[in-house]
Amino acid sequence: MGIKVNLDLLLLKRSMTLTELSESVGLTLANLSILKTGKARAVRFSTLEALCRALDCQPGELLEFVDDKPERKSRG
Amino acid sequence: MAKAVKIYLDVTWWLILVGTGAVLLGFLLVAGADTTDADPIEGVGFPIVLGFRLDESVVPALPETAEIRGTLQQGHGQLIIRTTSKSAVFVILGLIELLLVVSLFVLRDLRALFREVVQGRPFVEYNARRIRRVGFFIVGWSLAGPLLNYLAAFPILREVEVHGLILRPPTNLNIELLFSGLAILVLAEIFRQASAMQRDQSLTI
Repeated sequence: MGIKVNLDLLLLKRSMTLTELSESVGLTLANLSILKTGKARAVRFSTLEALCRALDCQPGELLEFVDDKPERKSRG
Repeated sequence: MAKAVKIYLDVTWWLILVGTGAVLLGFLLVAGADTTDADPIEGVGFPIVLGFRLDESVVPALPETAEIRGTLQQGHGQLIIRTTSKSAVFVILGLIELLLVVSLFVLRDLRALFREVVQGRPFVEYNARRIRRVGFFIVGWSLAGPLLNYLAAFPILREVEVHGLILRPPTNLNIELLFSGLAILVLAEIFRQASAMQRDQSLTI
């Protein structure tokens, strides 16, 4: 997956636990865990908004693009 | 409704399981029997499906007053042959056993599929695989059945003569069964895509 969710980092910066975040945004721990471990296929705007509000951050701080595919060799 | 289907599947499963055991026992008894084709065992009847054309010299004409005017030409049916040849009985029991075992595998898939559906998990990848296997079985059977009928009838018809009938091996394909199998394969593909969508849905936070 090329999109990394920096939930751990933001939780650490905000000195917040996953349980506190779960209560704050109304998501289950299981769903937050899916998000944290990078298994999620998609994130709803409403979830993103709730997470940004709870963590006081921008979507760009929460999500990061990581190019994990090897670069194509150029021809010639 | 779900309960009735479950009972139906369970009863069919147990009947076929018992039948498989009985045929296997018969197969082993025949295999172990100290007999040869010249020293016959107890006979086993089996049907040979065939087609026939009426011999034009003996075709009964339809009466002049008949509402449908025309001539009788052809028909199809089956010969029931009771054989006492050990090798024939051996092959017949072997084929029946093979069909029963394959049926057990298909029924196992259907029962597992139904269990998942009842538990509220219809759209999962392995259900799509189960449906695909059932579809392939039905398509395979719709093609192999007529071929087996043809091959079984061919050598026997060389030795059988019926006055007034010109016998021939059957060449009719079971189109309904073939289409059912193809429809199930299409359904399997729908299930596969639905299971992928279900997975996406469950991993959307």
